[in-house]
Amino acid sequence: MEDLIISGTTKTPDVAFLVLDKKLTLTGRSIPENSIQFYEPLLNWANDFCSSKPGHIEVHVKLEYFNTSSSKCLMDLLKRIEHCECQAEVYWYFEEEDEDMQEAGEDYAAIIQLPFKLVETSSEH
Amino acid sequence: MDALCHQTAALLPRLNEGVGFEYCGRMKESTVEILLRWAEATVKPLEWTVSKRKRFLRCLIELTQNLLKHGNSGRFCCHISPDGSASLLSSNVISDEQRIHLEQVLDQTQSTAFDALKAERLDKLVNGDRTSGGGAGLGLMDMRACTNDNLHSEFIPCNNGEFIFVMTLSFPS
Repeated sequence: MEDLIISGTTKTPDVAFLVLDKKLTLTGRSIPENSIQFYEPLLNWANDFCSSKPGHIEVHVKLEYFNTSSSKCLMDLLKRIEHCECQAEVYWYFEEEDEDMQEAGEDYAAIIQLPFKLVETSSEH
Repeated sequence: MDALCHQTAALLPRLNEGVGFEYCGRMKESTVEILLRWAEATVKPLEWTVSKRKRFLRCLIELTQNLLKHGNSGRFCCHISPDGSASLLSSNVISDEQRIHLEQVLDQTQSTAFDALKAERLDKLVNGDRTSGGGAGLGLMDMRACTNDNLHSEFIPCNNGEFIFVMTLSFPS
């Protein structure tokens, strides 16, 4: 199985899903018009990765902001990992004073039955 | 398009007070991107909180992407007053059938008590249908939350049984 690496654009995040490191990272912004199209390869990769029973994995979500259709796709991605036969931990990053992104992390943490760590980062503004 | 621009002109804030921009014409993916970049450049120097800046930009994205998905062309206006208050406006021509559907969706979204909005958003997030064109009605809910319930819409009758759908979002200073 190969890593999934996708460079970010002004509308889509950097994707670094690394097999050997067992680390899935999304960085940037997620505001594509068609989120399903963007997230489908990520969901497929996660399915295959989960099938390999990877053991302990880390998911890092470092999004500046995301649109509402991406929020549904993120939920799908985290749900797939939740149902994976592995020990997954989610690290949800939010910018200092960004209460909405913090709250979004808390919302996902309440729904997804995985250990969630909310990580505050310094403000870039 | 001329009629659309003319009929919504009175609804627009006065651009000679504060800063802003407006776009009238066909909405394309590249247009959405340019409008977002302009808005980011406009709000960057302002002393807004991180939350306010991001809420404003998220709403701009939702509005412009709605125009892209549901209308071939439309009008979009972004305005920031000297006192720091801001507004976003979008308008596009819709059919009577679209008006009926939109009114139902808006009624449904706005009939939820503001305090109960979060629970409904979470329910939609988990159980709502997801399509390539949108996020199961989450956009309206998110815009309502981002503006602290300052989301207004109206349907202005125009030619041939069509309507101009106008949505205005206000952000206090």
